[in-house]
Amino acid sequence: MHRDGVIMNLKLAAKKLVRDILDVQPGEIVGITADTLSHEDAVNATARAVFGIRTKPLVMWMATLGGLGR
Amino acid sequence: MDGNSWGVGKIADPMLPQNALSGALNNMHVWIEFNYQWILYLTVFDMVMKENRDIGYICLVGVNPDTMVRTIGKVEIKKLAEFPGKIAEITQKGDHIGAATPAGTDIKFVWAELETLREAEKAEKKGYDAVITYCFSDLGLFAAREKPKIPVVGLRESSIHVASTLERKFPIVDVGDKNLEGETYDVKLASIRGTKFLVLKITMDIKKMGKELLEESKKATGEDDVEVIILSCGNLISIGKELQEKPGVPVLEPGPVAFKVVELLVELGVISQ
Repeated sequence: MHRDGVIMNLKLAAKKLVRDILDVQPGEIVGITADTLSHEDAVNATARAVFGIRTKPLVMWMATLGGLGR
Repeated sequence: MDGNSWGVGKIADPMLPQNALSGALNNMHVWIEFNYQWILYLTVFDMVMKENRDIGYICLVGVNPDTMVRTIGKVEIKKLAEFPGKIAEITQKGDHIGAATPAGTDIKFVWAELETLREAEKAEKKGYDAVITYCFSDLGLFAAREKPKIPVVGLRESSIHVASTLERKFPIVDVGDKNLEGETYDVKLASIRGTKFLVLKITMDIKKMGKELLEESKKATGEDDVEVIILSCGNLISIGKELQEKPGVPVLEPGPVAFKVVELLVELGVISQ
């Protein structure tokens, strides 16, 4: 799929996540955490979707944790 | 989430600005986690869940635009939310259930537990004194005891109790390659040993199956130091005596054991409450 198409669909997916799955309400504060291996487009689209419903996003980027599994 | 994302465990706690992060998240209404090496179950996560009990949380580890579009964007959330309820509604109407999808899923199953309960109720109405649920898995045993007042006895439970009264260590020798692995029993259980025979094939080659059972029984007496053996299928009848001569320890066939337990309960006049 063309990148523009992916971004358009991603925008819709982020809206669905915020509105339909998480049921975020206007005025709520939504924290988004991500690390240096997270996909920036997915994070940013989600932050925009949060902002789009008059809600306050706070994105926190951090270094990817090292170490071995559980 | 892809195959390279394994999480890091609490050993990574010191790498996070824990107080700053938990301080911020404690003041959020919702937390969406995209971390590739996730914070879920690290100390920060525990702190936030303890302090901010009303927070909504979702873990989207390893999500990229493609997976986000496929698993969220293209899913009809309202219908998905209704789906489990619909499935429950449909499956409760029938005993024999099948499910197939265009992607190739094709499963069939039977509500064995429900059927067991119905049969137990039917037996009581017809005036039977007791019920034996005749499968070593004891499927539906506890459900079947809920309503009828007559005793309901299972093969596995009764065999294990009888074996326990011998005050010895025992193994279970199974058909179907250790179907019972992972089950928990009395501390006297020494081992669960399996043969490759499936239940429905027992009567097709009883000699071969007897030989395999004998092999496993011998191993149980030698390696597991057991003093009584339980065979794990109601179809394993009339081979116990022959088997016990060779390994030299008592062999319990669950069918006759359950029958005798039931007989005892009926003679004692025991009625379920």
